[in-house]
Amino acid sequence: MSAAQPSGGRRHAFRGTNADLDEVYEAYSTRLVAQLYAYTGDLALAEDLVQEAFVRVVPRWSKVSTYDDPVGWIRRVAWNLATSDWRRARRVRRYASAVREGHGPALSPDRVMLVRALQTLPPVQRRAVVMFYLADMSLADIAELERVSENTIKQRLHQGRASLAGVLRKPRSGVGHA
Amino acid sequence: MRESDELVSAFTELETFVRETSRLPGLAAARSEADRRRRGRLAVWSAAAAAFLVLAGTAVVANWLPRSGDTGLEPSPWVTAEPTPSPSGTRGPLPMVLLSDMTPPDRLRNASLDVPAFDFPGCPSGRLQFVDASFVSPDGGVRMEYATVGDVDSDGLDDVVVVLRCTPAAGEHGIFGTQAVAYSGPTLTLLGSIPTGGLTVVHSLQMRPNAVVELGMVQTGLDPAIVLSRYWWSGSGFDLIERIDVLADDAPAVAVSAEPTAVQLVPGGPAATIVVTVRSDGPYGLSLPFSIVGPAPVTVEVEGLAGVAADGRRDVVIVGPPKEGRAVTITLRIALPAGATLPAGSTVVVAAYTRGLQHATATVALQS
Repeated sequence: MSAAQPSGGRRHAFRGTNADLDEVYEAYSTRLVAQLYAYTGDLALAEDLVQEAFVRVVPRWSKVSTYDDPVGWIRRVAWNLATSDWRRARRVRRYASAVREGHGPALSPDRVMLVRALQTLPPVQRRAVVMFYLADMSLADIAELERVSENTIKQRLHQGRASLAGVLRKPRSGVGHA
Repeated sequence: MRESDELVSAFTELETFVRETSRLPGLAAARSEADRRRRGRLAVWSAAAAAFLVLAGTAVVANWLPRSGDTGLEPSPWVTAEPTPSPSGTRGPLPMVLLSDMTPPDRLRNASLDVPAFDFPGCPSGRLQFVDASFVSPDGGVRMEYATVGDVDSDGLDDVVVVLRCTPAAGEHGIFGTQAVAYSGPTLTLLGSIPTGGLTVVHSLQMRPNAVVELGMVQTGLDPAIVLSRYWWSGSGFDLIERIDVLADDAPAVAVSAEPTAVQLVPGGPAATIVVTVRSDGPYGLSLPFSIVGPAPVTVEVEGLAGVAADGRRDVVIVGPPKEGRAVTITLRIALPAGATLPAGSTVVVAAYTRGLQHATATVALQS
């Protein structure tokens, strides 16, 4: 599997070098931001979380790179940061706000609608949807990460899709765009 | 399922948007930040070592060791206390709820356990028969420090995580190995040890929601730190999922005060009461080691912790986590045994480690 493939670099042979980590950052950081943005609904926070996950992997890379799924480790750290308490998130955010420039264009109404719709889902459904569609994780991998059965993940995906479809079919004015 | 799904295009668009819009600081910034944190840890480690060694130090470590002829399980000098919110900063009771939870359950105390090799020379390992929470042999001993019960491997059965402390037969006094090990279900089948990262002193242990095991540790070696680390059972081993560094620049700021600041002790007389307040000024709550150091003849008891009296020299308590802007209080009872003589200038020092390990202390003068 190439490092550019979407499912997270499982079984990719890393050598634990700085160049390896550069490659991982290049290939996966933005994808992780997209996943966490979809989950948190906050792009700046998503960037902060991903950057913090990479800060944590830097001193451990020689070891993490030997894992079966090193990118999965980074993803798990980022997701755990996302689901930890808000103070912790704020702490992360404070660091990143010191080094990050301002953002570019604002979200289009369609994207606002999708992100807002995602925020209406219960967290377990939202995680399942984001991991399945944005992280391209398999049902088995999501089930393992969430420590539930594949059938439970299927059920959550089904419910999540149904809820999203309902929200997305509403007129756009329903989300309050200008 | 994914290919035929109408959501695929929506998420593809979202990802494209993020790719075009996101402004991550870059890996160089991550490396720089990681290096800054590492240097910060190393810089404060001298202060940490000094604080730990001078204030509580090797003597505290020795305090964790079995005393001569001691084969039973003493109550751990480490306890964890959940704070009672005190809206106006007034004193509230401090329920020491986790002390009993950390005591190894009866089924564990006399069990035959597969003990993984310690990351420490000269420690017994393999199948060991424990008697009243201790394994004793001429080749060294292993003792159950404390334990917690919960479903670690998500199989619906209660598992046990136990902190084991080894005293090598030829070990230097005050030097020992520790490891946290999980055993599954009623048969106490070995799941594995938790990778705590080298020479580590585990000082707290808790089961958190979602099968998360939380260890409070003092880590020495190449990457010294005082940390709160959280782990998950992956199916084949424990994965570190979060590590909070107590020494980090943004660790909570803590203030410690004691009232009164001087007490009169009469040999064989009633104990003096001291109320210690530990206040967190944020940015978040965190369990913190809190040490009590006093002169040899004095006995110090933590109120509500029968049987956890200090041995007259020192004791260590985990306070936590004080919520941001809140305080917790601990009541100490200090006494001078009959016939004992109090050295001139004696004090009891209470200390909590805080941001950058600039330990916050309060001193109580003892007079007789």
